Formats: sequence, structure tokens, C-alpha cells
Amino acid sequence: MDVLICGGIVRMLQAIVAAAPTIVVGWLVAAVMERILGRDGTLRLFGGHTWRQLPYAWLLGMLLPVCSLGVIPIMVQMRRSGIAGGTILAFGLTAPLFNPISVLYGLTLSDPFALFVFCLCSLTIVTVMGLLWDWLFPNNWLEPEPLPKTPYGIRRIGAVALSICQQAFSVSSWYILIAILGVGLLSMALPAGCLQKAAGKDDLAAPLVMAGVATFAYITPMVAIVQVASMFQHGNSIGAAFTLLVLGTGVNLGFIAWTITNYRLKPSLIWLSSLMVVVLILGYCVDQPLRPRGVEPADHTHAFDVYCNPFQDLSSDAVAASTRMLRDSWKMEDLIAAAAGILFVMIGLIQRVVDPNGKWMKWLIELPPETSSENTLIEPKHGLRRDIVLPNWIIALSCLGGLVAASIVGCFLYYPPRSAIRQEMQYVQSDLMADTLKYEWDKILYWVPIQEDWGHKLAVSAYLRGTPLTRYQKMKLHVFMSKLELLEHAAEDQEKEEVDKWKWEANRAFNRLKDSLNPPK
Amino acid sequence: MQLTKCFGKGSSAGIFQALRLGIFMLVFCLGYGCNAGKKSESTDAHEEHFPPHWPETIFVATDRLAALESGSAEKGPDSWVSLEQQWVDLFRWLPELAADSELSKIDFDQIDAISLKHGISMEKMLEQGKKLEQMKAEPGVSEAIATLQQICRQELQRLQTSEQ
Repeated sequence: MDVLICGGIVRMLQAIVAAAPTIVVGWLVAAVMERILGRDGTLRLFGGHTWRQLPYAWLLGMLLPVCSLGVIPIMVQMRRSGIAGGTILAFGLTAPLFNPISVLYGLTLSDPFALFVFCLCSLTIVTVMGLLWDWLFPNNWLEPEPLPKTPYGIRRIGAVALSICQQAFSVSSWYILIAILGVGLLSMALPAGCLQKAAGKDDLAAPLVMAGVATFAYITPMVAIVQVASMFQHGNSIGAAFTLLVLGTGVNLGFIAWTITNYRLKPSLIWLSSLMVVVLILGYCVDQPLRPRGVEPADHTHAFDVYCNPFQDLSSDAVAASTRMLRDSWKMEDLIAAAAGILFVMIGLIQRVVDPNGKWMKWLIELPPETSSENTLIEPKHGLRRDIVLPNWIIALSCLGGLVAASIVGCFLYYPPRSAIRQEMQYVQSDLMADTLKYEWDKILYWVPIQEDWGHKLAVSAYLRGTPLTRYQKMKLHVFMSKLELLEHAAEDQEKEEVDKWKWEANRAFNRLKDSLNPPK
Repeated sequence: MQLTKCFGKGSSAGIFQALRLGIFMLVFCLGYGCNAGKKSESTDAHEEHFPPHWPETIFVATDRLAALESGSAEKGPDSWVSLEQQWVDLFRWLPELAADSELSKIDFDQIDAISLKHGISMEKMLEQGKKLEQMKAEPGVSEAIATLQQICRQELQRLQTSEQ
């Protein structure tokens, strides 16, 4: 019982913290839509009710760094702005699927052609599903809710900030919690490691099983792309990888609940079953043609352990084991975002209790009496002398440019230069070796994924900086990663002899990798 | 309370249906997963990661290729893997084995080129159902194996010298 409950709680806490940055981004985007773009502006941004709405939905979806949880508040705003259901669902599926950083990461991890086909198939699905929805259920949009316009200046910034807090404590957060609950239920239903053989190359049921798991699972875009790449590297079922990418990143229990609430049960189930069928058909179609050549299929994979219960048995202190697992998996940037998220929720709660009639927001968006004409929204006469009103197209272009620039800067920050990575890997390798000598199982299992992550980053960083790894270096890295994986398996089984063998093998491979990166002059 | 309000009156039956569907999928996953878990108990870690004819080093791989070429190789304990399959796999594994050694970049590049050239063509021949004799008769194969042997001989000499 302890295993079930603790495992479920650990997986839910891991998911909510990992999702925190993208949920906060989702609230911010929703607040911008509500207070800056307004209902008309949001509708126009998504192409109105014209043929442009679907291409715009997936273009904007690909640019915005949100996940399948962070997209829910945005979908709520889109619905209130009178956008068609097909467009909202298309956006909801695309936005979490890809973002510039994850696509770049994926490009260097797996075959670029395979990733291109995956992107193409995903966009086909999104478009087909959007068109299908609008065809089956025409005129399914709501009349845009009336929303007072927000005046320019500092008050507008205040209104956006308050709106973020309101988004955080709103109906959309319930759906986020439902999605997180799905993660917990999934881990309670799946015993530790039970999916290790669920995606075998020749397993015909693999895409089907993955569809079942992925619907409940929550995966960040980055984790999804890493898992898909790992499935390519391990020679797993490509159909299952595709299913995991589309349904794992795009769909979760919260998304399903939101769809049912807004579009009723029958249409939602028809749409979801159609989505499953289309994804599975495409998954089975791409399975054979995209199968990587020359890859020895691994007998099992640990890529899906994150969906299962993290504990096999909890003979020792359950709370201590859970705390240790959470501490090891949480990253500082995610924790900061989670703290910010909690703060927004708390402010939203206080505002709801103290100010149930929304007087704070009314004050922020209220125009002074002498300037309350419509023109004031265009030509403000108050505020700073240089407080000019920019045309919408400049703001839109700046936002777009800013998103692209931020993505590029983000890529360079996330993947440091080769020399820095080499240094980090050296530190990790020293710690790993020290722990293998003392057979500290938990610590070994802590360091190996970190070292593997640096290995992946090394390849991406080199690619990003225009000096991709040579075939010689790539092979050295591949050998090192293979040895690390074997060391990890030995540590999982707590086999001392195996650990002794693979630690030296891994260390030797690491030294060779280092030498290949810095050849003697 | 808030949740019921947001779902509305009419859709609560839908939620239960969706939950039922969810539970079905969970049970499906659970059943499949448990069965999958059982399979792994009997397998050995080494067997899980390496096929039975995996050569430990580039030297072993080269010797095995030479033996297959001369016809002196026996099937061995991994008799379910055909000699043709072994031949193709050995060619494909050469770069990884070379990278897992102290061979220089120049030697690695040579081995990699051999693997690229012959690995792909041999694989195609295997798919076409060609026999080992036909594969061995491919132009350049004997020279490639001779090059591999020479590289390995030099490397062994270098290792012996450095040990002394």
C-alpha cells in the first residue's frame, strides 16, 4: 500500500514541478490574451473564422514554449474569444508537441529525416483533426465574451499581473490538477519497471500499449523528444515512439476533461477516438520505413520507467525514500518556477476571498473620467511624455522576434560550449567513480543520468556552434554512453562484479572520448 | 464543489463514462505491463545487451571475419545465427569496436570506411537471400579483411611495445 501511495504522490509531485515553468508561461500568455489582445485581438491573431485559422494555430503553437498543462489556460481564453473548436484543439495538440529547443535537441539525437517525418505526420494529424472537428460540428464557437478594454500604461501591466494570478486560481487549474491526478493513477496502476519491454521492435501491440499509457501520462516536450530519440537509439518500435510523441505530449486527462466540459461528451469522445485511430494508423505506417538500420534492438528500455511506480518495495522509511527521490529529480529552475506558481495561486486565492466583485481589476482597467473617450486607448494624453502607443503590428513583430531570439539564446544557454561540458563531465565522472568504488547504489544511479544528459548536450552544443562532432568523436561518445548504460543496469541489480567491470570500461571509454575531443597538437 | 460547478449539470454522466474508459485503459496497461515484467526475470544482463555472436574486441572481430572468409569458422554455440548474418553483423559492428579501442583516428577512419562500404552492400545481399560464398566473392572484401588484419597486427605490436 505504501508503495502505491508514495509512488503515486512522488510521480505527481515530479510532474507538477517539471511542468511549473511551462504552466507559468501558459498563465502569462493567457493573461496577455485577456488584457492586451482582448477578445477581438485574440480572434484576429488566430486568423478569425477563415481558412488561416489552422495554419496559424500550429505556427503559434510551435513557437510558444508551453506544455500540455500550460496550454489549458490559453485554450480557455481562446474559447472565450470565440475561436472555433477545431482551431483550439489543433493549437492544444501542437503547442506542447514541439518548441525550438526540443526540435533542435531531437535533431541531434535521432535521424533528422525521421524527426522531419514525425513533424510532418504530427502536423498532418493536427490539421486533419481540426478540419474533422469543424466539419463534424460546424459553428461550434461561442460568441466572444464582452471584455472592457484595458488602458495603456502602467495600469495595463498591473492588469496583466493580476490576470496571471486570476488565471492561476481559476477553473483551468482544476484541469491541470486532473491531469496530474492522471499521472498519479498511472503510476499506481503500473508496477515499477513493467514497461521495460513494452516497446519492442517487433511487438505489434507496442503502439497500442503506448497509446494507452501516453493518454494518462504527462510529458514535457523536452522529455518526449529525448524519449523518442532514445527509442530510435535502442531500436524500439518506431510506431510506439510516434504514438508517445503525439499522445504523450499532446493529450492528458485534464485536456480530455476540458474538451468534454466544453464540447460535451459525445463529440469529445468521437474526436478523441478519431485522434487515437489516426495516430495509430500513422504510427503503424511509419514503423517499418523509419526503422533505423544497423541498430541492435535492446532487449528492454528504461525510457518509460518514469510512467511507472518508482518503488519496487518500500521496506525502509517510505517518506525518506520519497524525499530522496524527489530531491534528486527536481531541478533548481523548475523549483523557482514552482515557487512563482504557488505565489500566483496564493495571490489569486486572496483576491478571490478579499475582492469577490473584482474591484481591483475594475480599478486597474478603469479610465479616468476626463480621458474615457475611445481615442484615449489610441492616443493617451496621460503618463510619461515619451509613453508612445505602438501600432499592433510592431508589438506583434517584436513579440515574434523576441520569442525567436529568446529561443536562440535559450538554446545557447542550455547547451554550454564544448569545453564547459567537458569540464562538467570530468567532475561528474570523478564523483561517479568514487561512488562506484564504495558501491553507493543510489548515488551511482543519481550520477549516471546526469552524465548521460551531459553526453547528449555535448552533441547538441557542437552541432549548435557549427562544429558538429566527427564520426570518430560520435562513436567514442556512443561507446561511452553504452558503457554508462551497462553500469546503470549493474547498479540497479546491485551486482558488484558487474559494476566493477563496467566502471573501468566506462572510465576508459570516457578518457578516450576526452582525448578525441582534445586531440594532442 | 468548484469542480462540479465548472463541469455543469449535464456533463457529470460524461465524466463518469470517461473515467470508466480510463480505468479500462489502466487495467489494460497493467495487465500488459505485468506480463512484460515477468519476461525479464529469466534473462541475463549480458545477453540482454549483446547478441551471442558479439565479438568483445576489434581483434576478435577481425579474426572471426578472416576465419569466415577462409571457411575455417564453425557456427559455435550461437548456432541459431546463420554464418551470413554473423558476417554482415561483424562488418556493421566494426566502427563501434574500433572506437572501443586505442586505435588512432586514422585507423578508425579506415575501418569505418570499410564498414560503410561493405556493411551496407552485405546487408542488401543478406536481404536478397545471398549465401556467404557470394558475399565473400564481392570485389574488395578480401582486401578489406587484409587491411583489418594489418591494422590489428600493428596495434597489437604497439600495445606490446608500450607494455614493455
